Amino acid sequence: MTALAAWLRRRRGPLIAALYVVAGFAVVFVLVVATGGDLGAALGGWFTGAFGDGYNLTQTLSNATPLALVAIGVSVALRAGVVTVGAEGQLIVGAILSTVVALLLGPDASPAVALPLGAVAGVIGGMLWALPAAVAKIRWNVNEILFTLLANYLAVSLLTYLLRTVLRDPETNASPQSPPLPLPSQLPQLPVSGRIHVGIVIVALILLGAWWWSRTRQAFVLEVYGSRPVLAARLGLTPRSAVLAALLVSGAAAGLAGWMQVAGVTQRLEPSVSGGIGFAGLAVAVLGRGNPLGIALAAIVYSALGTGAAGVQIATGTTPTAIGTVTQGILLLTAALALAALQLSRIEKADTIAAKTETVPA
Amino acid sequence: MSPVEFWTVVLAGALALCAPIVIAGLGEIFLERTGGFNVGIEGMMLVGAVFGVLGAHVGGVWVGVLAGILAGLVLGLLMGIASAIAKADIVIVGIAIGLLGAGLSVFLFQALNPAGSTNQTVQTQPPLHLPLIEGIPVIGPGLAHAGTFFYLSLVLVVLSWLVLDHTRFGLRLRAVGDDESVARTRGISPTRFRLGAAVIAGGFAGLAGATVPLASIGTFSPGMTGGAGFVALAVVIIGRRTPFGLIAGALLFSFFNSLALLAQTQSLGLPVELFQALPYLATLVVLCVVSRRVWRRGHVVRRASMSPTPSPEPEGAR
Amino acid sequence: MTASLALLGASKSYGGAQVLHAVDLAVQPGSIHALVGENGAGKSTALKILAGLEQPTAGTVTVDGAPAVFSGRASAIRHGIGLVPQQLSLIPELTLAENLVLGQPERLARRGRAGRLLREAAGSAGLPVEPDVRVRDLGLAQRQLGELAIALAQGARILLLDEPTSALGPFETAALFERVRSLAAAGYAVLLITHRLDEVRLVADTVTVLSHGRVTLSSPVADVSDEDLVRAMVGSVPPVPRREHTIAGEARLELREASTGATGTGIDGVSLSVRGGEVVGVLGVAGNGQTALAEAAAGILPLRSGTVSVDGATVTGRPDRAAQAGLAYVPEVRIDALLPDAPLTRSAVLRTLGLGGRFLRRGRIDTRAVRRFTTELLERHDVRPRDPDLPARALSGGNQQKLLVGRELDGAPAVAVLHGPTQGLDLHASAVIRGEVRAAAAAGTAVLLVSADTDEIRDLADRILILSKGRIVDSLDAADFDSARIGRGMAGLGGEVSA
Repeated sequence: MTALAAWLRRRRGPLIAALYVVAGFAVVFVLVVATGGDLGAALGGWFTGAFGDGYNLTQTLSNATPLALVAIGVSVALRAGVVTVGAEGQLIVGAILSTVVALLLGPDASPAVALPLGAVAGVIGGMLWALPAAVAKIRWNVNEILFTLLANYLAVSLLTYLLRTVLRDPETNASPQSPPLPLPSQLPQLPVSGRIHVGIVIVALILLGAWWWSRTRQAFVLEVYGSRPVLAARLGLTPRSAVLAALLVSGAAAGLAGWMQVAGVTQRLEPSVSGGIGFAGLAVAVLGRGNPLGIALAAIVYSALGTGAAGVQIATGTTPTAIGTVTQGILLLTAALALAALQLSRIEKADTIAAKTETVPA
Repeated sequence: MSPVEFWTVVLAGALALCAPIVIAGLGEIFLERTGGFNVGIEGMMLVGAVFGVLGAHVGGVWVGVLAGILAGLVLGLLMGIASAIAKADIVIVGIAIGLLGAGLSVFLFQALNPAGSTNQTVQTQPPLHLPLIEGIPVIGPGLAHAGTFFYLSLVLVVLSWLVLDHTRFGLRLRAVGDDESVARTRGISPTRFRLGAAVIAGGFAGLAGATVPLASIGTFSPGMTGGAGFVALAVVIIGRRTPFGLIAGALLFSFFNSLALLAQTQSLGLPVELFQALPYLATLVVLCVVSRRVWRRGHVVRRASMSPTPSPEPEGAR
Repeated sequence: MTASLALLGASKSYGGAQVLHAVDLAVQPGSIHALVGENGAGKSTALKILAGLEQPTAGTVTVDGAPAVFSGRASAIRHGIGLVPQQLSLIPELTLAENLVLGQPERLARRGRAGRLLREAAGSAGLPVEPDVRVRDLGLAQRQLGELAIALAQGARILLLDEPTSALGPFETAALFERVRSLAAAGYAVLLITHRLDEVRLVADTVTVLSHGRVTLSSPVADVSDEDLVRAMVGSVPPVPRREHTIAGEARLELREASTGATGTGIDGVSLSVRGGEVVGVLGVAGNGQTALAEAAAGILPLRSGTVSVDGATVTGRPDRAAQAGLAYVPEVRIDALLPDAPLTRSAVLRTLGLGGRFLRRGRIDTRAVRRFTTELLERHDVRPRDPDLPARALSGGNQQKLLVGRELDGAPAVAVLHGPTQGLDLHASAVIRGEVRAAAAAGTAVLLVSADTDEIRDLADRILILSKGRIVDSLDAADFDSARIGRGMAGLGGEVSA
């Protein structure tokens, strides 16, 4: 074997991972070209759509904010081996509760009171919607993926009902939506071009807090629970507490994101408040490898794929905007494949080391 | 509307609506029997739907059905290679394929129907009238007008049961999901069977997706499967991963779904959103009950194990 | 006479490690050949090659004198090589007949025909077999017979039996050997893998001894003595140190009428107590409730009735309380108590992290202290390789066990529950572990040792309890050790006693 071949063989894991990434890009390019788009124009259009011209950049960051928030909550659950796709429903209920609180507080409350109350309401709403899934899993061993999925649909029905009846805006006759939130309950916007509210600062702080938390004993034991529940029990974490913590934290994060949606983005409760954030949040949690910096970056990249897609459509004229969602799916797939390749090579290396010491007497 | 007429209409709706869930669920049974779990089932169905319409454009409804199956097979193969061969986590792969499939379906739809052009309808399933059955009270009209796809799904249910229970292939498939290491010792390759099961699941999902536009509507619209795939996942567990149990669960869901549709046109006293939530709520409740009973029975014999259960395995279904 | 099955100069390497070195082995028709060796000697690798599960990296396999290459288990079956593996290879969900169908060439599952085939094949060998019962519902001895029947029904002329008696008591063993002898008399070629020399004497015609992947002895059984065999197996046996310390007064671990209420392999009305400094050994054949007993005593398994207490505190079914009370546990499957893919620094602190603030600094984990502790642990217990950043997966079984036992017995815990701590280890690692157990007892730990290995129990225990079908059926002092009495207890004969 030549030296090069041996070098390649040793780095097999990272090489295969890189191959997957290249393949992913290739597929996307093929799709763009197949719909008649010029690749150069498409790339330029994507960049402009995602990051160009101030307004677009703001939009990308604004979309990334709730995504990162949901993802950090999901990543806590993933540590414990709990897979939750219920962010959509939890976000909706959080948004509902925040709206109710805001409307109750009215236009004369002080923002120093209204904003924290709204946030708390969002958190409580999200946790409330996540709680049944936790109970079902603990008591009856119900698969949490299915429970949270079905609970999403229930939340949507609840939202539609409330928007049609109790929370309906009496002013408009068009699509059902709530009255606008009173001013004190609205999140102030940042003084930049485009619309982005101070929630991004809040999320950044939360990410920092998450980084600090990941160094604590609780985080360690939660992760042990993910692979060896009994060992975690010895360290004081029972399955009941682990599942509860996992789902309640992710629910709280999603609920808080729901508050940010109504208080910062739309300023009222609308039917389309959530939009598939459950799967997207999980995707970002996986792409970000569960650590706050990774999640922040992944959230930005992920939402950039969405905002950039409109730019691609404009630049090429023929490539549909759905190229954004397609690319997001391909991105997640290649990431999953690359991670698997890296892990397989790590396992292989470890097994070789173990085999060597097996035949040598201690 | 008299009570008899009311329930007749509801039941007729249930029968007409349940085919996609049953078909998608059958594919999922094969996959879950090898220890898999297809979170991306909805994306596969959407791809099946769009290819179904495209195929029907080209050569009529059965070409559309075939196109849907093929599209599903490809995605299933992708999932199989990624999870069984490249050993990526099947849940994450499923989510990726779900996103990919949903995006791809809209992508193709937008590419071939640029904004502004009118949506042409395609040929839908051949009409099937069974006048003899029509006379049976309550369920008669429903069965008579359930459509070709409904009876196709029933045929597939019987075929699936035969394969799972009476062929060496089916036994081997179940062996892989029951005890992987033992299966390997017996010369059964878990990788190959997981790959095969994923392809089967994809094909069934593609077929199920194709039946959605090709039943009566004749056009594709983004997201038209409306969560049927996810419902199929729940219903498979409710039906204890057997083809006949699956039908029971699917009918349960479709029954409430049909009721909800009727509630939209007729005032039934309670808010329409409650009826819309009812299918999902009922499914959720039954899911809890079923999981609990299986768990209770298994708990007595099962000792507290120090090792975790493998990640994608749907608990509550043994 | 041409051997039915033989290895000629077979070598096998995995990655960089060579496991077999030019091994020659021959099994004659109508005879029983024993393949003997310590764990890690290469027996299971040689077996895998003969069964078609692995390919030799050098050398050949011959069937009836002609070289044969097996592409997998299926092709070995076609050559007539039947395998009864140590880890039974039956799918629990299916019946024996369905398990047979799994290996058949026909596509259709004809259960009736498979059942008939099994009854015929089993009947000719005098084996009682029930083809239509789910394997899950069969007892261990029955499953083994089922495996044998399936091998015969598949047309095997050569039978490879891998440690067939590890789950059997003395009487079932005798019954099995009788059937094996009659099979040999009928012309079958039998290869028996075992590490028990008494079995070699009992049933084998010829014997091959493997040590460190090499053949150290090959001869008719009648021509060698037991000393020859032992020497061929292990070279030298390290001396066994004797216990010196005294046993403290109060019971530190107590089980009262502990019952799991499960059918099958649970425990029923078990009561026992262990004092500080005492080693109580629970001896029993695998499948009689050892795991349930060990896990119950460790506070992991919830009980239907009865209690478990450590130093007076009730810990039944509460691993957290047990850990707080100072209970250490080494399970049978050692990787279950380690994190296979995380660095050793994480596995090393799994017992003590946070106990009394250990390894914590201002609410966060003190990574430097953890690292120091890990390095010291690896050093003190001779774990190789000494790299604290390696994943636990990278350690061999023996090294994993040294780390695990070291971690658990570190700092003289109040109680230590050990399940088969030297199982599968070579003699040197085994001696190290036993030394650690003795040291812990000398420091005042109450040790409950659950094992199926008579040697291990005899070496370490002060008091011996016999576990059979989930009940303690006998209790004796180590000084009164009597093989016959213990054999009877393990086979389920003799009255019930509480300890």
